[in-house]
Amino acid sequence: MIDKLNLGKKPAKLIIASVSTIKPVFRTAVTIIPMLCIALFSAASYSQTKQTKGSFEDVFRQLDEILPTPNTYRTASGAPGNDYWQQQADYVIDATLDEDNKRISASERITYSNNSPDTLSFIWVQLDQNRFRKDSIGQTTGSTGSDRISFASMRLEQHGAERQYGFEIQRVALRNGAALDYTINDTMMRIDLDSPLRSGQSVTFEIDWEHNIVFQEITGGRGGYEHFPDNDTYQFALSQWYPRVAAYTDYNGWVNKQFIGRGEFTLEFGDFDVSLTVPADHIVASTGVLQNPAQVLTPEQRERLDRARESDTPVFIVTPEEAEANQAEGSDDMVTWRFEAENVRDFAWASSRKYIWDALTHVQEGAEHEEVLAMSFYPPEAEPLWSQYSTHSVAHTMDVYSKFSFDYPYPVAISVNAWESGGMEYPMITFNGYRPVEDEDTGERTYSRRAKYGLISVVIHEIGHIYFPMTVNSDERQWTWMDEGLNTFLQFLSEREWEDDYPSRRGDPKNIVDYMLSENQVPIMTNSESILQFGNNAYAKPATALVVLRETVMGRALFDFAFKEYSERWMFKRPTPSDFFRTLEDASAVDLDWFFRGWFYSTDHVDIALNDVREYKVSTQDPEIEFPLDSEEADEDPESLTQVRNEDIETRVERYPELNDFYNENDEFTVSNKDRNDYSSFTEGLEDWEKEVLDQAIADGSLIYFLDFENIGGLVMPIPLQINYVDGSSESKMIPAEIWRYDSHSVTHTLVTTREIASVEVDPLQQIADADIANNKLPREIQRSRIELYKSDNKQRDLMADMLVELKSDETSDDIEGSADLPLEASED
Amino acid sequence: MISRYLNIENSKLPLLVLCSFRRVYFLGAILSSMMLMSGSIQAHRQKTVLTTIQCNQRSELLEIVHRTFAHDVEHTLGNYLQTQGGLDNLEAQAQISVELSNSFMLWDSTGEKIPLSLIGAELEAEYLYIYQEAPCAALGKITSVRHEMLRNYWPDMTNFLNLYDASGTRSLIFTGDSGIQSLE
Repeated sequence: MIDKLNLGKKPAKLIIASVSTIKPVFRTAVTIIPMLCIALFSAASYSQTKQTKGSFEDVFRQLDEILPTPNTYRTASGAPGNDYWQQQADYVIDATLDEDNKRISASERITYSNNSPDTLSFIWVQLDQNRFRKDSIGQTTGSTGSDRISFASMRLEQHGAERQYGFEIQRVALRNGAALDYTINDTMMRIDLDSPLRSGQSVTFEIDWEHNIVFQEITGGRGGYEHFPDNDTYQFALSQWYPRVAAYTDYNGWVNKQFIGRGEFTLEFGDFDVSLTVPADHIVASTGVLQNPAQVLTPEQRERLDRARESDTPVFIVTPEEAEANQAEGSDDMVTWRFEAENVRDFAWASSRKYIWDALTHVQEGAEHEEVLAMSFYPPEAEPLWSQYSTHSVAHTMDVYSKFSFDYPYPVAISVNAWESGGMEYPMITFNGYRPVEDEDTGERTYSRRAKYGLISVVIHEIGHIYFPMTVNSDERQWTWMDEGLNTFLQFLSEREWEDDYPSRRGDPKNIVDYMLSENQVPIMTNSESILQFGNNAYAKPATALVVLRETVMGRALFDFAFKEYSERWMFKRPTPSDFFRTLEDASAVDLDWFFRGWFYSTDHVDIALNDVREYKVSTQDPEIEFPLDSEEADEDPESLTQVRNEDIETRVERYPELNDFYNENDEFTVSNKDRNDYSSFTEGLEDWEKEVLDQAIADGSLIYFLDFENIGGLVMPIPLQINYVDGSSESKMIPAEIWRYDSHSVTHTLVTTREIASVEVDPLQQIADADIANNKLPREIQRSRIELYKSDNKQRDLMADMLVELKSDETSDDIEGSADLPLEASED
Repeated sequence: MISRYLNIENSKLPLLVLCSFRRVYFLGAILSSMMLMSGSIQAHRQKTVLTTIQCNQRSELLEIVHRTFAHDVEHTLGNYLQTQGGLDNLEAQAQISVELSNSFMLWDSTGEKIPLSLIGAELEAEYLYIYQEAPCAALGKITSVRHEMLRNYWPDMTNFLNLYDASGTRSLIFTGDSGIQSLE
C-alpha cells in the first residue's frame, strides 16, 4: 500500500511511502500500567486562556492581563524603576534577659524615614509575639474534622492557662517624651503620629515593653527557650522579639495583614545598635558584629577568635569541655553584649551558658566583606555532629549561593543549634535543628546518616535564607514561594555541590509528580496563609520549576545569567512575583509566560504521551522501481490461512484453465503504460528545484517519521526525546514547548532521518515531571511498579518477609515510644 | 508504641467531653488550640507522608505505597533506632513498617475494615517506602481513610493521600487533629 502525503502546500508533489512493516512494531507489545491512564485533561488552566468559540486554548497568551501594570517604581523589564523607593527603620534597642522568669524587658528607639512620595499619619508596627496570645486570630481559627485531641495539644492548652504570652506594651512616646496614641489589633499596632510625616521626613519614637519568652517545645514557633531536663539547663533563641515596623510599599501600602502563623514577614532595612544584658556566664550569638569583646570575652577567647580569622577550618572559641563546665555552673551577675548591624531587615539572637562556639573565615575576594566569619553555637548535646558539619555547611552555602546570586553581604554568618527540630532564618543568624542520639545505657552520643545530611541541609537552607529573603527582601506574608521556593532551589544546587548522590529531598522533577496530581492543591500564586500542602506548594514545586527551567527550558547559561540578574537587581530591595517573572524573560529572550502560567498560576500537571509513530520513505514514483518493492512488501504478508489449509483442493481455475486471462498472468504490481505515463507526467510537472530535492532525498535514503504527542496533564512543556536507531546508535532531541502553541492537546512532530528508528522515548531522563512514564515510549514497554520492583529483589524481600511474619506474631513492639492521643470518653448526657 | 489510639474511630458523637474535666471543655474549645501547633511550621522542614493507592491491573493487586521522609522517621524514633543500628538496618525497617502500617486504615461503606497486607519497606536515599497490598476489588469499596503515620509525634505532620482510579485522582490531606476522612 502506498500512502500519499503532501508535505507543504505548494507544489505538494513530494511523495512519501509508508514502510508498512515498521508500523506494527510500534503498535505491539503494549502493556501499560494502569496507573495514570485515568489522567484526564485537566480543566484547571487559567480561564483567560479559553474562549467561547471552539476548543482552542491559548496557553501561550502573555501574562500582561495578570501582572500589575509597570510603573516608575517597577519597570516592565522586572527591574526597580527610576523612582523606586523603600522606607528605612533604624533601631537602638536595650534588652535584658530574665533567665529565671524567662522574660524579656526592653526599650527601643526607632527612627523611621519616609522615603515614599506619600504623607503618613500613622505607622504600623508588627507585634508577632501576640500570635501566641490565646485570643489571637492564629489561636482561635483552627478547624478539624474529627473528635480528637492529642497529648501535645492538651499540654499546650494547660500551658496556656499557666503562662500568658504576647507583648506587654508599656510606653509609646516621641523622643521628647510626649506619649503617642496607639491601637493594637491582634498582631499589629498602629501608632498615631502627632503630626503627618511627609515625604522625605523622619520621625523618632520609643517603645518600652516586656514579654514572656515562649516555651518552644510546647508552643512551637520560630524561637523561644529550650529546657534540657537531663541537666536542667536552658538556651534562649530570641526571634520576632521586638516591636518591628511593618513594611510600607508601593504595591500594597502598609503590609499589615495579620500574622496567623505561616506568612512570615517582610520588613524595612535599617541599622541596629542593640545592647543585650544577659547572665555573665552566657555566650551570645547575634545578628551583627560584637562591639565590646573586651568586656564579654576572655582574653583566650579573643585570641582564639583572632586565630579563626586566619583559618578556613573551624577553630573553637569555646571548646566542648569548657561548655560542659560552663553549663554546670551559673551566675547572678549580668553583663551587656553590644552588637551593631548595618542594613538588615531584622535582628535575632541566642543566649546560653551551654554554648560551644567555633568559627572559620570564608574569603570572598573583591566583595564588600572580603572576609566573613562563619560561626556555629551549639550545646554539648549537639556533639559530635555539629563541630564536624555545621560551620563547614555555613561556608559551603556562601560558596555556592554567591556564585548564583551575589557575594554574601554581611560580615558574619551564624548557625545556632537553637532547638532540636529547628530551622529558621534571620539576617546573619539562623536557628537549626538536628542532634545526635544519646544511648540511654552508655550515654554515648552518635549520629545517623540522616541526622548528618539533615543538619547539612538545614544549615544550607537557613543560611541560604540570608540571601533570600533577608537580602532580596520579598514579601513572605504574601508569597512564601518567593523565598522558600528560590531558596530550596539553591539549596538543591548546593547539596549537589556538597557531594555526589547527596540525598536531597526536593528539587528532582520526578519527586514532585504525585503532588502535582493531587486534587487537594492550590496554585503556587496563592497567599501564604491559604496554601494547602505548604511544603509541596511553596518549597518543592517552585524549586522543581526552577530546576526544570534551568536544565530543560532555558538551559544553564541563560537561566544562570537571568537568575543572577534578578538577584543583583533586587538585593536590598523588595521584589514582587512580577519582577521575578519579568526579569527572567528580560535577561534571556525566552518567552516564559506559558511556563509561569502553567506552573505558578495553575494546578495542571505534566503528562505527555507518545501515542503513535509512523514511518515513511520518500517514493520515486517511478513504477519500474516502486512496483517491485511494493510487490516484495506484499509478499511479506502471510498467506491466507484458509488458502494454506485448502492445499488439497483444486480450484476452479485450475480445473478450467481457459478461465485464465491477462490479469492472471500480470498482478497489480505489473507496470502498465498508463503507469509509465503517469510517472512521466509527474516528473515533467516538477520544478527543477523540486527534482533536486526529490533526487537528493532518494539518494540519501531519507526516512520520514511522524510522531503523535498528546498533552494529557494540561501543562505544556518542551518534549525531550531519545531516539534509538536500528543500527544501535541513539540521539537526544529537545522539541521546544512552542510546538503546542496552535493545539495544546495534541501535536504531530515530523522527523527526517536517514537511519531507521527502532524506538522513541519521551523524557528518558525524567526532567519534566512527567506523571505517567508508561505512555512515554514506543514500542511500549512494561513499566514495573515500585512494589513489583521491590518484590523482584528476592533476597531483600524474603528477608523482610521473614521478619514481618515474626514481628506480626509478636504484635506490636513496646520498644518504640512516643506520644499519642489523649483518651477521650463521651459525655453521659 | 506508635499507635495508642483508643477512641478515634468513634466519630459520630456531636460533643466530646474530657471526662476528667467534667464537661469543662467543649469540643469547639478544644479544637481551637490546634492551630497554634499547626502554625508552628518551621522554615525548613515540612514533615509529611505521601501515600498513593492504585490498582496494578497486571497483578490485579491494589498497591499502597507510603513515602516517608527517612529523617522524619529517624527523628521520631531516634532512641529506638539507636538500639537497632539505625534505619539502614533491615530489621528496624521491618519493625517500623509494622508499626506505621498499623496507623493506616481503610474502611468500606458498611464500616468493615479493608484488610491490607504488609509487603515490606525499602530505604531509598532520603525516603523510606512502606508497601501494602490488597486485591484490586477493594479499590471501589474504599469509603473512609485513617492516616495517622507519625502524626502522634508531630502536631504539624501533614499526610497526603492520592487515590488513582478510573474516575481520576482523589486526594485527602490529614493534618492537625483531622481523623477519619471520607473519600468523596
